[in-house]
Amino acid sequence: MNKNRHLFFIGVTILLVLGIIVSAYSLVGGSSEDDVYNISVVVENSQSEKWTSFIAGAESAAADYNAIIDLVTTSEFENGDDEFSVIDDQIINGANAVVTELVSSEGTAESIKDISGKAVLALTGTDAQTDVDIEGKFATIAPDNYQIGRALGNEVLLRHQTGLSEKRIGIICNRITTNAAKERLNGLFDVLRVKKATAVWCIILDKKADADKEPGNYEESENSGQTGRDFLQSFGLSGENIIENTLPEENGYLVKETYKEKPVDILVALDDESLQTSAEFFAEIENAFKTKSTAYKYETDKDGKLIRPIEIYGEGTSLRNISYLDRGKIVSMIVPNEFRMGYVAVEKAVAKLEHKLSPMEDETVEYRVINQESVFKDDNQKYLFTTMQ
Amino acid sequence: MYQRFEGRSRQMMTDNSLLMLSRTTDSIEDYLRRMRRISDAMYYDIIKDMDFESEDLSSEINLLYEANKDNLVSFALFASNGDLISAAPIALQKEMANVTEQNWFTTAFNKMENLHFSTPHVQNLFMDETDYRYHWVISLSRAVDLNYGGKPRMGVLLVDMNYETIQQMLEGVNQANSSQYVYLITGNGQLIYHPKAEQISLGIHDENFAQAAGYDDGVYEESFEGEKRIVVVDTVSYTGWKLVSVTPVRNFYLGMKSTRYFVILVAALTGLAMIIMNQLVTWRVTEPLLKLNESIKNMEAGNSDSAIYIGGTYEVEHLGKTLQRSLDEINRLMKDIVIEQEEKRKSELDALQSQINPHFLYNTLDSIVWMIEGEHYEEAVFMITQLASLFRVSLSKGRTIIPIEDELRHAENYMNIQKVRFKNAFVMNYEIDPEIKGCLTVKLIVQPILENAIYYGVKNMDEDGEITLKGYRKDDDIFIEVIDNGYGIPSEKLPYLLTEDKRASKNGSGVGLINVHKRIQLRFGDSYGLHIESEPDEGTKVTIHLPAIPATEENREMLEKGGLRYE
Repeated sequence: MNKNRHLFFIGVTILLVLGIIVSAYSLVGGSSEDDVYNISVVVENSQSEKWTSFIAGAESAAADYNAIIDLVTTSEFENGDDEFSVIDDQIINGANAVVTELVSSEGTAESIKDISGKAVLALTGTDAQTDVDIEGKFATIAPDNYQIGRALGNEVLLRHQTGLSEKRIGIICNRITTNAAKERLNGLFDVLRVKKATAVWCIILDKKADADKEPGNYEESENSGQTGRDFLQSFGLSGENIIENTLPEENGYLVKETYKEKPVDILVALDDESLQTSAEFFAEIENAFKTKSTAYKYETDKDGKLIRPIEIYGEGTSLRNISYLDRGKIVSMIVPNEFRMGYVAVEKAVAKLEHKLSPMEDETVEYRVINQESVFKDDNQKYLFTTMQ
Repeated sequence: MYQRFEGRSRQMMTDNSLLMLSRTTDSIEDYLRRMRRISDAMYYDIIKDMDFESEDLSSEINLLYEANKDNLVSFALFASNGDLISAAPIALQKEMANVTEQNWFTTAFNKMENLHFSTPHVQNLFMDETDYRYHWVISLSRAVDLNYGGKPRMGVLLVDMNYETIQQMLEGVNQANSSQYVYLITGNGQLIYHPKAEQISLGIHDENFAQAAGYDDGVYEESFEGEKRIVVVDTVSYTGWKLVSVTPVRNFYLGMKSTRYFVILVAALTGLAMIIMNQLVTWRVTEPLLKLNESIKNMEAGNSDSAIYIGGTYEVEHLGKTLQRSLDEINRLMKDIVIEQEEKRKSELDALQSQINPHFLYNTLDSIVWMIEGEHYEEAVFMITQLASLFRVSLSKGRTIIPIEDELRHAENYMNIQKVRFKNAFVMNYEIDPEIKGCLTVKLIVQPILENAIYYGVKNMDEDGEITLKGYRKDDDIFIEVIDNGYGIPSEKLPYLLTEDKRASKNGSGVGLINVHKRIQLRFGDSYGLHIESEPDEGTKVTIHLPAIPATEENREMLEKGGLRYE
């Protein structure tokens, strides 16, 4: 009987000790909930207004999923390596995940492999060159850039149903090194080709290909000059009509000079910066008309009002561009859902941090075609104008 | 008890929500009231009195705007065709605005008497080349009568309220709680403010506005997307807006979970402490007691060499030690008894032996034969009668305890015989106090001493050998002394005489002083016995010390059994 009693007591003691451990652990563990994740956002010119919706989305997801966003202050990146080194720094300083929009999609395989081994990686806006074996270790959240290109082309065609044979088309973009830019061009030309239209020139605003710089400052493959030129030439653009920004003056100057030399009727901008530059150029022409400058050729209607000198179409997201659209400087604008992109990027990053073994999956976000009339349509209001502070 | 606590907790949280909600509703109502007053002031105090043909509204409208510009984005008056009549801050009307198609405009005309509050929207009215900003506003509009030189025209007075004000008001409330939140909808279920508005429009988040709009003021428990929550609804007056507070029920459980675990923790700790205490008591007290009991049982069973358990608390240990000591004492006493019984037996045996000392008998009979041969018939008869008496006492019917009278007679008999044998080589004196004769003694104690007195004392003295037998009572003691004036006992031998040492030679009857001494002590106790004093060439005195015990049958029986030793 003594032995049984002994066993009984031992059993009860073990139960009690277990109970103590479990409840103490839950008390302590429960109160601290999940870990807070540090997510760094690395994008070019991070303080620019064009990121407002994107960051709003990221912050929103951070609040929902118990993460902290660190928006790294940046200016222009010289090249992809520049951007990757900033990302590396962030990881060294304790970032659990990195959300980034790459400035170049070429030669990125090694760097992406390296990074996705050290931290969770979410690419936005554009995808990049990667090895097959690291699929699932990072994710790309971007709009369907090819379709955006097509949408741009369609917007142009919509307003020129009779034909584009007499219209000159100019293309302007910030960089040609990203897959996004290339896909948009593909989409655009696929549509234009139907009407047998082509571009007169293509301006690349990015100053990286500056001849003043020492050679070897950038990788051969990232030189928009080489593969970019090849790419553009495949669309029928001759070498001299691929205009790279080698001037020290600001971007508007290049556009002005090019336009003066070879004016166009339609200007298609492939991204937010180039769209803004285009719209500002348009405003300049208007101003010049008002001040009766002879810098440009104008056409006026019977009331003496200036007939639109250029039709500007483009992809954009910043409030500036929206207001240009609202004021009629831009005809039609393709707006990707930047808020959603930022939100989903953070959401996926946190999901990966919590379940390290499940693969990350890409996601495509929507875009909308907005023109001057539809800016204030009820649904578009919420889409275009974020209410978050 | 746990459930009661849960219920109370819930009640408290609900009350809290109600309080917070009604306060917020009051704030919103205050704000809206102020805005309405601005519109009223503008209309009733200014517009009604104005002739728009000749007068200009700008200064008044600016004044009113300036006074309230923290909460206003714009103040504007439009004609019924959508043309801007006056606005503050001053701005140009946007061409593409299509004022007449905007909601606030059409609603104002639908119900002309009332003020109308719109849902939040981006202001689309004015054009400013330098200002690229856009404002989220809630439009307060009303149809107004305008006087144009006596001709009445319709217009719409618009107060565009800064949405930020309401937003900040509600964000402030929402920040206070973690998973509890508050949102604002119109009576139709259209969203005015929700902390996750963006997520809802993206489709990431969902909220049951339609259902909430249907609720009257009060507290409801509902289930939405698999989650149970407490919903409190309060209506904002005039607008019909509903302020809805949502508290997920798991909020309680989070706190409850902590409490539950805390309770379990405390209970478990207490239980563990009790068990430890119990074990402590058992280990220190109960078990030792049980072990002690076991060892006592062992001892009772007769395993005399089993040790008593010593251990446990001080008290139990003390018990054990005492018991052990008692046991040891008993063992010792038992051993003593055995030894003593053995002694007695030996002594008795010796005494028995002395009763029929062959040498003595042989010598005496020899003397008698010699007397008869020498025709000393009277001496022979004397010798034989003395001998007979001596043996009669020696036997004493087998008794060990006899009256001192008999013992003395025995001594006398012996001395008479010896006197004849030793041809009166010595003189015998008797100084016996008659009162001692009536007391008891162990038999055969005097004769061995007399024997010693003869053989060691006076035998080799040529003349004047003298032996005195003295007996007297002193209080409760009886002293019998045998004094001789012989050679005495050599001082080396003296201490050994009463021991069993071989240095004390035995002669004569072979009984010896030690035997006598032991027999006396065995019967009467250690305080009695023999005492020897001797001076070489002077003499020896041997004193027998006895207790004075009257020779009653009772006393005799008692002494016969065991003596005085164990009383």
